[in-house]
Amino acid sequence: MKPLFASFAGLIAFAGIFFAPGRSLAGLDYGPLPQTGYCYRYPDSSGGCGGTFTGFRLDSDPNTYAQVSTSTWGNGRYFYASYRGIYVGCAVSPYASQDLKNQIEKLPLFKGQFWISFDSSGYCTDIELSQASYYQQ
Amino acid sequence: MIRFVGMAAAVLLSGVAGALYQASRVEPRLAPADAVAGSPVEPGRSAPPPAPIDDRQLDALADRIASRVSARQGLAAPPAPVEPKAVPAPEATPQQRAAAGRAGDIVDRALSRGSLSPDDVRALRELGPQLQPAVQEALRMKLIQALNRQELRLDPRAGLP
Repeated sequence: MKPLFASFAGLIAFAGIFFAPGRSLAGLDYGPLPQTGYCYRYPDSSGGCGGTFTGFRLDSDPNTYAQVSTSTWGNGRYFYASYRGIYVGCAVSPYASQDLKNQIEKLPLFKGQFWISFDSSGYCTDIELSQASYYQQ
Repeated sequence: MIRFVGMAAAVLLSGVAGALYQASRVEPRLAPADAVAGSPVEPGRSAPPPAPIDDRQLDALADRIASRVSARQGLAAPPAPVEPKAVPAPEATPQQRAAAGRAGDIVDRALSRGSLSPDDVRALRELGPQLQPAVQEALRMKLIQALNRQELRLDPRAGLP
């Protein structure tokens, strides 16, 4: 019984030493948020743009830009961009889901990474807004 | 200090695990057989044979089951999506028709030039309040589609109307 107890106590002590954190570490840190911007289009005129507004402003092509506008009049929710000679844009259809309308209305104030795609009719199909802990906020 | 806390936590956890193990070894107490309820047959006596069911009774039973199942399915099913009814736009007034004509001319000239100037955008914005929403939507989509076909350039200072 005594050797059994001793080995059990030893096991507990080993587990305590083994599993106790020696030193706590912070999470992933990839530094500042990469400020890039880009767009692409397919031959059927669908395509997408992604990055940050700052990234579009810092692009090597001085004609690169991105803009999002929302208005209370008509179908006033649209995005357009010029990226290294490519011109693209899309509007959120008045019949689109409320989710999509909510997303584009957040975009003008958003400083993180976004992604927006559109179909060949020029309607926005998806708007993704993204923040990540591993980039400095 | 952290290691000491870790060891203490491991000891505590092992104690809890041991208690749980002991608890799991206790045999469940079985209820006595005579405590089982719901048996209408007294011990030592055989149950009377069930009365035969004729076809009419079977059909009635089947109908009742079918109606109950369909009623439950009706309750469980999500409500059918309501198609948005297209509200017919009110007929355009002469002023609206004239504004739509002028806006259409501005857009067509911009498309033929391949660029939308700030003056075009300003003129379209001024005409905007006189345009029906559907007309403005159509003109905006015409510009965006031309943009995506690389047939139109926007001035970033003015953007899209």
